[in-house]
Amino acid sequence: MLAAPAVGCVVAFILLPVLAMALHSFWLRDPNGIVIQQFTLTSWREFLDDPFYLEVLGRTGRLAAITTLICALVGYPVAYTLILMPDRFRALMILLLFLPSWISFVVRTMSWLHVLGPGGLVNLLLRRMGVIEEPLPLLYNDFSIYVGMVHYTLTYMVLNIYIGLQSVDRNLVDAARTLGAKGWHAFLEVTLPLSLPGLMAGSLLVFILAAGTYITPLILGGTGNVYYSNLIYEAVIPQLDWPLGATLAVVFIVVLTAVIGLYARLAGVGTLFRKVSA
Amino acid sequence: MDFHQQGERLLARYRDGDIDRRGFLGALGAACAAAGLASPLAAYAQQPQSLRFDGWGGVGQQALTRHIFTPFTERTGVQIRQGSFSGWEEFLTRVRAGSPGEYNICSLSNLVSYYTFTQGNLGQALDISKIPRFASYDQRGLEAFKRLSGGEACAVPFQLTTIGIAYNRDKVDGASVRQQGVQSLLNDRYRGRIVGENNWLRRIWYAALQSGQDPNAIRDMDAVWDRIRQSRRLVTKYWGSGAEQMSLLSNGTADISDAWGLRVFHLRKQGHPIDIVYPQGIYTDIAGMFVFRGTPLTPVYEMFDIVLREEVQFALAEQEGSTPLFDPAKVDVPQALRTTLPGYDEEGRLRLGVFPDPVYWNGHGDAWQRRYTQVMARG
Amino acid sequence: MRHSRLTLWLLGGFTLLVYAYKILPVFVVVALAFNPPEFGSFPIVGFTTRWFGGLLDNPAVVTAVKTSLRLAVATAAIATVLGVAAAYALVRYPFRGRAAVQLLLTMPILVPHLIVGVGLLLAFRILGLSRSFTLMLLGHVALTMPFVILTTQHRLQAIPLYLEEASRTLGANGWQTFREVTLPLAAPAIVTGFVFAFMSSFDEVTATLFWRPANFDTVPIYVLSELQNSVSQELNALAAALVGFSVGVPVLTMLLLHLWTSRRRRPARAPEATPAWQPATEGDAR
Repeated sequence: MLAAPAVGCVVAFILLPVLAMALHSFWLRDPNGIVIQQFTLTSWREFLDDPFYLEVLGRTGRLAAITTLICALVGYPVAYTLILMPDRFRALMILLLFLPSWISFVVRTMSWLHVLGPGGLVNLLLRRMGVIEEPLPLLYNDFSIYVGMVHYTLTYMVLNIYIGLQSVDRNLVDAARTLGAKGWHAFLEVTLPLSLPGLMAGSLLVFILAAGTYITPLILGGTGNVYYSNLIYEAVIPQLDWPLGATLAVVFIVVLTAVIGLYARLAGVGTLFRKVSA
Repeated sequence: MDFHQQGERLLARYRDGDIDRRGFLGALGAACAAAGLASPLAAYAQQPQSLRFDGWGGVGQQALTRHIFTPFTERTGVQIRQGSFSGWEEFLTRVRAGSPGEYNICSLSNLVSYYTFTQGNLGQALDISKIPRFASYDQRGLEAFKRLSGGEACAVPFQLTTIGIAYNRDKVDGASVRQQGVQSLLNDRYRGRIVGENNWLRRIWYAALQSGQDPNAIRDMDAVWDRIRQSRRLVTKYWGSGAEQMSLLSNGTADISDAWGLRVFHLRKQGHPIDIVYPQGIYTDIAGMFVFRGTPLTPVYEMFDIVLREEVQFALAEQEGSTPLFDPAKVDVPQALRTTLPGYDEEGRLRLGVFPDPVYWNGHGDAWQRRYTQVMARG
Repeated sequence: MRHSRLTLWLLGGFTLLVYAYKILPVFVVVALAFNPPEFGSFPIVGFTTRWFGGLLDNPAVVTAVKTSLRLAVATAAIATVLGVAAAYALVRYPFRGRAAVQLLLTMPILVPHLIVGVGLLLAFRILGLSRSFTLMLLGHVALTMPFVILTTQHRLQAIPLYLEEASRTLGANGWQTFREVTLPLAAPAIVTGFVFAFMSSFDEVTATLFWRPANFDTVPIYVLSELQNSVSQELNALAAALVGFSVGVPVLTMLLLHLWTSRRRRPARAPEATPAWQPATEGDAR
């Protein structure tokens, strides 16, 4: 069984730990933060009674969805350009996408402070050029959060679309043109549907990664930019409340699993479409 | 699991003086053999080859290695295995999830963490009389530790942590900050140029001072939340790390912030125009080194003998800006350090603010932390 | 695919802008690393290389870089082998519970690393295991495998089944077919998966913080503890050095490869089966 080692590895190192934590969501916690192995629904009741948690979950979904949308809109033309490039350039371009990953995530995220801050690159340039007098408030708001989020997730989107586009049979596109389809028409009717699986896979990945980020909003966000993963972190670490943290994490995993289920249905439709057109 | 419980029970009995050392080790060995595995607890049964130390990492820990661990290993032959953490809560999470006996000594950053550690029964009681050098230190820290752990201290307090209000002297009028104290953090004139620490305890502390209350005995919490909301409307960014704090104050984003004395020390050393004032009632804390249960004490005492040396503490002070908690009557702090080091005044006396009462803060921690998160998220 | 000149210009211009955005942090960090003031910030006031000098003298940095590279290469290698095998099984062999296996294998990216981090420690304690490099390596493999599987899977799906069938008809066994037909066709996706796995292992910090044994610092963990103090110029220099290394090694490899292939005749194979960047990216990981 080819999948067995992979499955074994994930079961031992991901599933079991997660189950161990999930169990904690039903356990009691004493005032010093020590977990007592005694069944209780305290944490679940707290989660359900306080609308705050669902509110933040909704906020996080919105953040992840908008990030995904931006990534798709920005990433598609880039991936398409990569396909059109000669092989030698393409290799370099793909390599460049990975370049920022060599800088540790926190330092990379903090480098935006030097770009967007009041004395940062953008404001410095605009002021030198005489466009503005007072520095623009580019930092510690939604704008800077999206700048950081999209920067982090874009590579995943571009490469997934790129791989998707590679699978498109170019003869098919040319055939469509021969049959009289105009440039955009051929793209919309043939290329786009055929590259849909790649776009979907990229979107799923970006959505999940964006929903799970807590460092980016922590560094680039302003006052009140609290997201769901921040709550999990706060419960587990500073509050030393493992039961609540476990409850929040279980909800998070269940919601994302539902998103994947939805994706599987949509992707299923995508595959069907491809079979028809092929 | 059973084996660990057995080991824990044995350890507790040993510590209570129920069984002697030889009996304890024998029983432990038997338990190990019965369990058929080499547990971390087995390490107790031997003379230690090494001790584990966990600290804040980075250049600070490299300085500790140079001044303390290397001489210690040369003297005793005991190696130091090092780890680092980014905060004491994160470290405690690891300790709780890890195996008993994994950790020996760690940097201790404050009273609240000391209380939490000892409440979780993680500490090893120390016999301070075995550390003669501690006599030249201010004894108030030790008294506080003893009270909290109800008996012997499990840590040695030898450094002071200070917080003040830092401001850019080119942009902000220092006289007005000195006069207004903590209220200047709510001054509308600085709107958009104020930043502050993102920490529930300290934000509640400042809000209590701002509403004229004793932070260690708050009567009116509504007034406190009100001040926090007010601050939230004025503040551009609540920072979470030393790096953020330094960059906000040095790159022109912020002109005024509550700030760690240590960070301001470094900013000033780099030539930034940052001054700091210590208003009445401002938060102060005690730092030191904590010893975990089951750690062999003989090498620990030897290590503290090096840690507490005057020349070691002065060297750390000069490089790292940490304030040694010397008793000024017994130790003459060099003139150069008096003027630069946070926590000392010009006469070389310790300038103590108010210490947090860990029992009080721990008791309210759960409810207040959650409320704080919500207030910060929604206003 | 033919496009009008205008479309090509628009696409090219847009891509250039996006790349500028993508590279901006690298530019900032590298520029600051050569700036003399002790606390890195704009504007640039001069040029110095002294921040790099301190790096090689700092054994902690050197060890952290070595540790990270070793961990990330081993992780990516194992994750790629296991991940490709799993992806192949998922695509080619319909079996019972395939959907469940698929979901399970996607799970590592759904789970907050903090939860896995703490959870695995609890599991270690119950099993009486102590932390070790091997356990951490396997943990990293589990965390990064989904990137390999997700990128490989839909590429495999796109490979027409008749190619493999034809190969078998011609007498090749399963392994030969996989090696001679499937692997080359899926190569771009596999290499991308490898690079993803390498990069995400190289950058992982939350779970590593919980799993690592004593005296074990990776680059992100070293950076994290340095950040207690400030984004020192040494951190900028370290980042700049890693970027330089990651650009230098593959560029050199590509140059050598170019010399090598131009001396032999260029093979007349389908270009996307062996993209030029494949050996390069593998090279930079070593």
